[in-house]
Parts: sequence; C-alpha cells; structure tokens
Amino acid sequence: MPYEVVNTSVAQGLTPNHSGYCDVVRTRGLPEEITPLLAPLNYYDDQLGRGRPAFGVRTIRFGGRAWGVVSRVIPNGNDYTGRPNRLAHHVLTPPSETDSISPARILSQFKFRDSFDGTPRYLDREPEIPSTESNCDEVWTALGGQGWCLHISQLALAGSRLVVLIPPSVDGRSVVTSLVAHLPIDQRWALSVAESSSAEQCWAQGVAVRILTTDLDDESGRRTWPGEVLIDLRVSRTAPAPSRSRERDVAQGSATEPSQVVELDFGAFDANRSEGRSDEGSGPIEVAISFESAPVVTRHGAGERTHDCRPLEIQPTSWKQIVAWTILGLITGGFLGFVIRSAI
Amino acid sequence: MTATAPTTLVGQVQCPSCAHSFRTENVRFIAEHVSLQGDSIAGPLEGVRFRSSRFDLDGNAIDMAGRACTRTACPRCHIEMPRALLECSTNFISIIGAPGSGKSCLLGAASWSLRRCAGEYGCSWVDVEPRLNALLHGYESALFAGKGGTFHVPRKTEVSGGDWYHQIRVGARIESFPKPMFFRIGWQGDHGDASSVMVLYDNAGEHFQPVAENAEPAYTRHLGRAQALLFVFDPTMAQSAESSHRQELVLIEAIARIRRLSGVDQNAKLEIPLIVALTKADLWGAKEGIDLSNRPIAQGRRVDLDRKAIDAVGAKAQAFVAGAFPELVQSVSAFVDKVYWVPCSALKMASDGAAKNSVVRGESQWSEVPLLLAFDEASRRQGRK
Repeated sequence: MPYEVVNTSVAQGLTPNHSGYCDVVRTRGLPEEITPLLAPLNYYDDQLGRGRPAFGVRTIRFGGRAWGVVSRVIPNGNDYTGRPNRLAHHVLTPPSETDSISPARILSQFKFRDSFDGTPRYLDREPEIPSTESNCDEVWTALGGQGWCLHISQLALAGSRLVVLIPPSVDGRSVVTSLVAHLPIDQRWALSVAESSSAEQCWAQGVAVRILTTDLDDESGRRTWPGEVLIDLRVSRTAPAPSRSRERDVAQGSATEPSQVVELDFGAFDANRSEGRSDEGSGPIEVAISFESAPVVTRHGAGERTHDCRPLEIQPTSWKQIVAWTILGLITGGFLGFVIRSAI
Repeated sequence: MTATAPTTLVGQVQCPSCAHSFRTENVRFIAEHVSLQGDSIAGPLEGVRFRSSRFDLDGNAIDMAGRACTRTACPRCHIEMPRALLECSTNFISIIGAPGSGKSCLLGAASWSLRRCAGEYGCSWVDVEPRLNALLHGYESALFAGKGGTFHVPRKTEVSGGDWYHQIRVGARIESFPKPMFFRIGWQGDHGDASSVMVLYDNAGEHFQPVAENAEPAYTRHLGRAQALLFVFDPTMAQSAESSHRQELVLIEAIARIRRLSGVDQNAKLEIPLIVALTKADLWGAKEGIDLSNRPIAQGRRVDLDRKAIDAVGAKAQAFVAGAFPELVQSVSAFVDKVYWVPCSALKMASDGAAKNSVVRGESQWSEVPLLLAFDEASRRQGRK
C-alpha cells in the first residue's frame, strides 16, 4: 500500500507540541521515523524554482530497503508567522510494491495538494494512484525530439550525472514523467530525477538528472560539478536527436577519447560552450565536462541507443578467459601433485 | 619579503561543525586549483582537502598543482573553518528557541547593531570570513539594509537542506551540520590588543522539539560544546491565537541534550550561563516599566557592559515572566545555575497615524546585549579555567 505525507509550516503539526515545518497529513500506518528522511526532499529553492512546482523522483533507504518517493514541492504563501512558506507532498511506495507501481503513473495523474487547510490529520485511505499513466511524450517535440528523452535516461542509468535546461514554456512535470516512463519496469525507480534543485542538493540526495527551467539569458543553475553533463534544450525547437558523431565532437573538445575522464578546465569549458553556439547556430548545446563511464553507442535500426557498460557485468570474452584459466589451473595442479607424490 | 605567518597558534582546535578536536598541525588545507576540485567527503563542488608538507613564506600551504592555499578545513568532516580558529581562542554560543520565536531576526539585529556601535561597548566586531557569514548578511540586509529602507522578514530557517547546512558524505550516507557563523570580537586587554572568535549557531526551532533528535542528532550536536546558551523567548507568542506552542519545552529538551552530549551529572545544574532574551520588548516592556532607550554601557574588563543596568532591567523582566510564565522560571531555576533575563527588541512596531496601521521598522533596542553578555560570561569562564 502506498502512503502520502504532506509537510508545511503550521502552528500545530500532527505530532503534539510540534510547530513550524512539520507533517500535517500522513497516511495511517506509515512509520513516523521515516519523516526525518524526507526532510531533505521538502526543500524548495526559490531561485531555481521561480514559483513553479518542483517535481522529483527519488529513493530513500529505510529499514535497510529502498522506498520510492515521488514529490512535489510548491511555494505556499505565508505561514502563521508571516514568513514565506512551502508545501511538500510526497507519495511513498514501499519496497514490496516498487515493481508494480511506476513513478510515471504517480507523476502523470496523481492529484497533489496545492494548499493545506484545517487541522492536521491521519488518512485512513491509501492515496488514489491511477492504474494507467498518461503519455507525456509530446513535450519532447518542443525540445528537439523523442531521441533526447532516451538519450538522457540512458546516460543517467549508465552513471552520468546530468543537468537538463528547459525553457519556461515547457512543462517540467511532463519532462520528468516522460523520462521515467520509457525505462524498463525494473529500472523505473533506479533513475532519480529532481526539478529545480541545486547541484549540492542533488549530490546529497544521489539524484542523477536535475532539470532546470530557465530563460536563455539566465545563467543561474549553470554551476556544475566535475563529471556532470549539461544538456541545454532551450535553444532549438527542432534540434535533432543526439548522434554518435555529435557526442564524440563534444568530448573531443577537451580530450581525444570520450572514455577518458577529462580534467576539469573551466577555460576549455567556456570555449566549448561558445564554439557550440557559434558553430551549431540553433542546435542544442551539449557540453561534456567528463564522462564517468563511457557510453557505447550501437545502432538499432534507424535510431541510435546508448548501452552502458556496467562494472559488474561479465562479458562473453570474460567467460572464455575464466574457463581457460580454470583448465590451466587444473592441469598445473595435477602436474604438481604428480611430482610431489613421485618425490615422496 | 615580510613573513605574515602568525607567531602563535593554539595547541588544540575544535571543529565548529563536527566537534572533532585535533592538534593544529593536523589541519587540512583546501586545494585552490580548479583541477583539484571534488572532495570525497565535502562533495564534488569543493576543493580537495589535503595535509600539506609544502608551504610558502607566508605559511600558506601549496597544493599539488602549485597553488598557494589559504583556506583550512577539519581533518574529519572536511568542512571549511576559518583560519582564525587556529590562532585565537574560541567561544561557542548556541542560540535556541521555539519555531517562530525570532532567533534569526535577533541574530541579524544584534550583528547589525554591533557593526554600528561595537565601539561604544569598547570592542570591535567584524566577520572573520565574510563568505562564511553570507546567511547572516542576508538577514541583516532583509531587516535593515534593504533598498530605500524597505523591510523584509528573513526566510524561515529550513529544517534540512538549502543554505543553512553543510552536507558531507560519511560512508554511504550524507550528514548535515548547521552552518556556524564566525565573528572576531576584539578588545583592549592587559597586554595590548586581544581578540576572540565567537562561533554562533542558528538552528531551526524544529530541531529542538522533542523526538526530532532521534534521527538527525548532528543538527544540535553543538549544544554539547556550547560555552553559553542564548534562549530566545517570545512572550507575545503565547497570546497569539495562531500559535499555542509551549516554548519552555524547547528549553527543557535543549538542556536534556546538553546533559547527554556533554556528560553532565543528572543531579547537577548546568554550569554554563543561560541568557534568556525576551524579545519584542517594544510591545510589552513599557507596561512593565522597562526602559531600553539607553544602551547599558559602563567600563568593563573585556566589553563595556553595564552589569548593574542589565541586572536592574533583568529583575523587572524576570518578575514579568514569573507572573505570566511561571513554568519557564521554574524550569530555568531547576536546571541552570546562572541565568540572565534580558529584554530586547529586534524590530520596532510603530503605529502609522495616518493609516491607523501598525508598521514594523528595522530598529532594534538592546538586541546586541544578549550576545555581548553571552560572550562576556563565556570568556570569563574560559579565563578562570
């Protein structure tokens, strides 16, 4: 059974003698000890959020297992002390149900609260999660095509950290929904996405993709960290999907092989950006500071996909080596045994 | 070349964030070169922390890329700390209070007031490292230094995340520590100029509520090393229909944590001084015969505080609290040995005659006194040790 939690600043919270930021709505049965783990997800960044709702898909570890959390945080007027307030609404999926409940279903159709009135209360019913998810893919037509969605999610699953800049005219909720909707069912909670979140917050929460809504001339949110890939989808409405040659071009701006970790050099970083703008014209600007793991691009029909090389994945060539070394070991062991027995 | 390296260093330093105590020579430096960005504990946006074996003539460490490094960090939590902590004595002061009691407002008002009038108290008051006090500068600007004299209420202190906390990686998990604020307070000592670094902690009031400590104890760990406690009590809050919060519970919880964190005997009273700052005195002070129009200034050993004037006003304030909030006075006298009651006002409420509305102005009265008193008491105790 999924749970929901609403957190905002009130004079009297759900817990007796608690005021200020506290839970005001909680599904009965949800352990109270989980509340502090949700506290970092309640934060609303005014500068990056600009009054728009900030959606996020993350996992938290509670009781030794991963819980899925879909969140929406919005500014919520002033609180009882007259100071700016925010309201965070989380839908939590317990570990036993993460396989059956997709974050895209919650994101696309769940009715998140816009405000809180009345007295704090426990909910006896579970949150109403629709059985189907709505298709949000059309949002990518304004961002250069569906290829970007696949490219971003695959890069993130491969271990890269990404910043995706989108224009204010595009609905951030649809972008987040679409990103998680196209993943295989067993990996839908593996991709953590947060909207309007700073680099520090994303690092602390282990978020792989952060989506920032900014104007073209706005430089806020450009603070990136080594290894982060910046994908700027604000420039073009008809940008082509990413290609192998493009990715290589970007990486070669500061290194010869895309698989190498590129030493951070802000001079080269700026040069890459300016080159991207002047050469590509209206094309999207993608700047790779470094790739934590090299995406290997293989062709599948007309489109292109990236496949990640997972560190623990054993390749067929590795199996051959293991078998060969085992046989060699057996022969050597047998020979040594024979020699020792002969000597005795 | 003139070497500017300090001639004296303190032997033992205590990290203001994680409370780790270490010898000065074990301090970590923060690499300055951009190629050395990304620290395993402090985060990918921070420079690498390293223990230097190469120094320039000014005593600055030289990082692996050859850059001189002036910033220092704790060897355990890797959080940046001002270099002044290696050279000066340190006074830790914890500010506690219920949510919405006005801790951040009082801190902003006190700091702003001291920037303007510290000389009257015979001392100086400056940021040790302005970058590390950016949060407080925001409070000051919102309250007093807005464009065209405009006034804004500072943002509510967040419970987690945002600008209020340092986040570090400890093993597989992330820990948050409240960002301390650092000020250098200087005075004319017996042997010339002397100074001390005051470390202030401004937590969210929610952190002092019972049960919140269970999951995230790091938020209020500084209570265990506090040399003075500043309890912000808003007498007008109890009369507000909106809020029915019991503020004395916050104090009781804080004292219980101090006992746990610093190992104080359950039967013993706390030895550290408690300064109860009774805020919004502009609303209730006049009725109690409390006059805060003059600053309490008289010749003192470190800062020129008029103790007699403070005690006289404090007695009236205590009588008022004893009548209106006897539970607070009982709790305080049961747990703490040395208590000072200081009425003050961070902002002034004035009635606008034309519009017949109340207008809040950025005008403080005695807001700096609780802070100076806390420092004076803490440094006296330090001197006696």
